[in-house]
Amino acid sequence: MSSHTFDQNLTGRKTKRRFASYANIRTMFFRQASAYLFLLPALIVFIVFAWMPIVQSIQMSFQDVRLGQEATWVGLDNFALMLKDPAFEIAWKNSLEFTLWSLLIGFLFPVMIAILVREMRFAKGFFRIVYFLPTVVPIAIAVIIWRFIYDPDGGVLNEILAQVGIGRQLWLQDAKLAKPALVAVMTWAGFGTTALIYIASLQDVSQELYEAAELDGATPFQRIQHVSLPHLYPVMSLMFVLQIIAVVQVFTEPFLLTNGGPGRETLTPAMHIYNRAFIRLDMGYASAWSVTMIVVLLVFSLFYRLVNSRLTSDS
Amino acid sequence: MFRKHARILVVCTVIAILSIPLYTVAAQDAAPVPDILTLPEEIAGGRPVTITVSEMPASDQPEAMETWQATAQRFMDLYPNVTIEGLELQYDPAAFTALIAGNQLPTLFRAYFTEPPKFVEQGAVADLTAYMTAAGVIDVFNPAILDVMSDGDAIYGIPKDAYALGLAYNIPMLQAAGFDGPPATWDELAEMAVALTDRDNNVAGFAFINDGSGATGWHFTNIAYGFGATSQDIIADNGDGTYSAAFGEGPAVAAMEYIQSLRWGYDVLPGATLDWGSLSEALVSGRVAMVIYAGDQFNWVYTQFPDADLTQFGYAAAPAGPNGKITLSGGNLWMVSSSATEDEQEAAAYFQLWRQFDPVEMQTAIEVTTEAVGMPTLPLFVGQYQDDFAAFREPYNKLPVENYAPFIDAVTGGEVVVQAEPSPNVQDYYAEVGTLVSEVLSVEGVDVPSRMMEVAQDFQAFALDR
Repeated sequence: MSSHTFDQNLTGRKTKRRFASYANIRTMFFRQASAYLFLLPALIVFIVFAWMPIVQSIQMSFQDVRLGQEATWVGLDNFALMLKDPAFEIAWKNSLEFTLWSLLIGFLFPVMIAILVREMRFAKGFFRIVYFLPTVVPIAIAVIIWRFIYDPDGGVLNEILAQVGIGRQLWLQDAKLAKPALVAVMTWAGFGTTALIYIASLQDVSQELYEAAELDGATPFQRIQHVSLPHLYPVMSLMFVLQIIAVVQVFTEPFLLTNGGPGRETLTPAMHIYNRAFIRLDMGYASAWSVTMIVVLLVFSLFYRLVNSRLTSDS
Repeated sequence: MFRKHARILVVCTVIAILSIPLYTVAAQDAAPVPDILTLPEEIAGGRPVTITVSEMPASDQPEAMETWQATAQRFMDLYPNVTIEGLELQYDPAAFTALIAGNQLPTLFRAYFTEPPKFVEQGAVADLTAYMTAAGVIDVFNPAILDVMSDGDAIYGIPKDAYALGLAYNIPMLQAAGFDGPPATWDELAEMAVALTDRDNNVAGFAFINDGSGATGWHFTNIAYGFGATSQDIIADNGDGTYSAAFGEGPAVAAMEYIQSLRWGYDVLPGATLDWGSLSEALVSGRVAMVIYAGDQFNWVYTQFPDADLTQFGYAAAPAGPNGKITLSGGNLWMVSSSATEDEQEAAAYFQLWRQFDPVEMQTAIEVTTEAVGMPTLPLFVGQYQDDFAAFREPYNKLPVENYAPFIDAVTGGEVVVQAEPSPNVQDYYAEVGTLVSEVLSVEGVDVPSRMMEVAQDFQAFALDR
């Protein structure tokens, strides 16, 4: 067979394969047209309210954007200015501290609640609802309640502590206490949803496993250690990432409770973006911060996935 | 049954007859309503026009909302082609930024005296000079106040009210501590505050807005003025279109050190975070004895705490510093959106001018208003009109105006120098310096001079030079 014939055959096979794949795509598209139609409204909403603003934000991060004025390209100026901004170090340091506090206070708490509810013999449903209740309280209302709790002059928490001889604490006004105090509010508001996810995951564990462990003489702690927790690890891993992503973006609690204070102790990148965009009207500069935040979270997520997949494959 | 009704009718008739002389006496005592307004025959050439107006009282204040709607209805009756839609929207710099960006500004809205330069620069507000000239009201306004909202010859706002910050105090608390009156100097204030502070009962001797927001910077600036700062000592105009942050040294630093001593030395400040509203709550509930206060805040107390005994509170000029009594002034104005059509702009401007200057409306409004009358604010007008205006309102005072004599006498007697807010970027400056006040209050031993210099440099780089 000459090389020419060989080439012809090869080209013919390629063309046939291409036609086949086009035909497959066409068939798949028409077969799934209704599914795409159902997806369309959600896609449009995402494009208009999420993806387009993200793309526009990336564009604006390279521009000087003032309301009512023509945007001008400034290259990397906004990013250079961001690195000189004293708030840059403060906000990201706060973000890191918030993350550590939230992992310390908030990460294991819902796991504990979920396991405890799972281990309950009676009134399981009641406790599921009780623990979920804070989640349904609107955050603005919750903040008002927490303000009363944390009020240093006659607040509920200080009154309780006074009964056991602990002096007046400035929960939201003391630079050392403000962060953990805010993380407590965030944990209170969010642990119900997380606990519910863990409870749902634990419901997948076969009852026979627990019964077998009990028959083998396992204590409740051993049951948790060898049955419940191993089952929860994949969900915990996902919740770990989601929690960090959520905490890095935290805005509502510090905005409503401390306004970033005392000083700048609870200033977060999201709050600084808000201040620069909507108080200073410096949209380009605020966009540079937003893009940085997206990149940081993206890098963290990729790094975590990489480490996690290495650990999983090793085990 | 009939006899009972008849008796009630007779009693009512007698009360009504007896009331006539009383009413007549009141009417005779009241000065005539000053009348200077010239209104057009028709607005927008009689074409149908709809305008939106902010600051309609919220639905949780049904009486005030009804009064507002009745006012709007009277204007719509006067000009049947105009439709007014009220919005419960209150002015908030951040929220209005978004409204400008979204081209959603109300046709007529209230803003602070600090805002006109920003709005004018953004092209967000309409020139009202022609309407104000035609209405014949320009000359009665205090020219210094009109300057605040002017750019060249164009006037972009209708002044609503003006205030100077002063010191509100709880008279019984001061008397109980053995003080006859408010402090004359800032040093005296600190010493009095020590005597008035009662930690066991959660009472602070002195307070100001301390939430670290721009409002904290606003109150700080009043103290800085008291310590001798001028607006040039805060933001200096270099005369060539550029500005320098000057508050990193001088009297503003001394003021910040004074605040530091109030917190960590004298220990007279409240632990709680207080914003504009909660500062009044703390004053009314007896949790603070003395507060930095704007005279128009008494209206908020009057409407929000109808049961509060306002006769317990006095109001004086801010204490004296090294250069005497110097205080910060500000105020509110009405502006019209430039994105509104010309017909809408005309209707909005005349609606505001009518409700502010029409004699019949002024009379009706003051008789039915649910708001306070007699607030210790600065005179908005000049000359004969101001005298007539004050005389007209005087019989309707609802507040204990005699308690405000220390403030009024000091201002009218020239004892107090009233200084306008620094400019430009004043809200940015307030926000920056407010954050530093919060830091000084929460962290012991802050190096005030170096932090003030750092904040001034940041403000220069991130606000003035941007």
